Amino acid sequence: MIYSVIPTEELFFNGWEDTITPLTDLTVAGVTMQVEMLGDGTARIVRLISPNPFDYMNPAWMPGNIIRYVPKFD
Amino acid sequence: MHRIPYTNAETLPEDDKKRGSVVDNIQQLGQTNVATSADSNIYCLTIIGQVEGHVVLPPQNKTTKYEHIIPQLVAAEQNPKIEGVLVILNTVGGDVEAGLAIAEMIASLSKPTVTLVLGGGHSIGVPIAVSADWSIIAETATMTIHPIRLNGLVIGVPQTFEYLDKMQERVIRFILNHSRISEEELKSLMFKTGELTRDIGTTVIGADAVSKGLIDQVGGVAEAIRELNRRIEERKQAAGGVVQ
Repeated sequence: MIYSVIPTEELFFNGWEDTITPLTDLTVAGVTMQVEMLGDGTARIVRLISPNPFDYMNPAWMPGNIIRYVPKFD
Repeated sequence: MHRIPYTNAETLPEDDKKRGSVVDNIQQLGQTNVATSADSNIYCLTIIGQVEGHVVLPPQNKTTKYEHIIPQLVAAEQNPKIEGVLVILNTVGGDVEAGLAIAEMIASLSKPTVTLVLGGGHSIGVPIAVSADWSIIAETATMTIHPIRLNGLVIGVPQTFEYLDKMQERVIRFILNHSRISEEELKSLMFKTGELTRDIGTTVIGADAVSKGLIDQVGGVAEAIRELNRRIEERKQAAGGVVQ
């Protein structure tokens, strides 16, 4: 049940046809971020989801920065 | 949106020499050293856009997901380094269950909590805004209080209305239990006609929200941090801890 000032039809029925790349959640050093996968082992940071205000001051995690990721084998 | 099984990542180093050592590190250890930030004693939660709950919204919506927020609140309660929680709201509302879950989590934290409403704290944002020990609203921020609606295919039986009324009632109860507003006042705001163009309800702005008893104070980030620090100190003294 949605309780919002945005009309429900606007919420659900707009935007599916848009070609926005779906974002992926990634955790780097304990900080969750939404990234756009670039497909070559790198990803572009779109948004940080961190409760620590100092994470937003870290220049390495500025939105738009490219991060490299590798598979982890345990 | 799924979580991919990659956990190690590193910002691309600027020089190749450094890059080489990072790659070696990954191959040998499966891990890289990532610069971590300093720790803050204040936990800062931002609730923006739509509060997303059981249903995933199309990607053009800016959302705050409850699967992100709820574990963060558990971490805030559990982590001894965290002394207070600041919740910053700029939301248009969203899922009732997710919003009430977040509001209940904030209300039941044992650590001092302060909410700051910036821009807007509409619909389900209202119970979240009042859930903290102290709530602050920016002078220009708005809160829209309106009834819950049913959308989509509705079975036209009296029970549907009863269900809707129950959903409405739990939002009202929460707001009443966590703010100074009276039931009559809240209901008159919620069911007022002629105020909103497309809806029943009222928009309260900054000082209005305070005079109605919904929010405690008009202010900004300085007031929010000051109030939180004051409450953190108070709690330390009450616990007989070290006083600076």
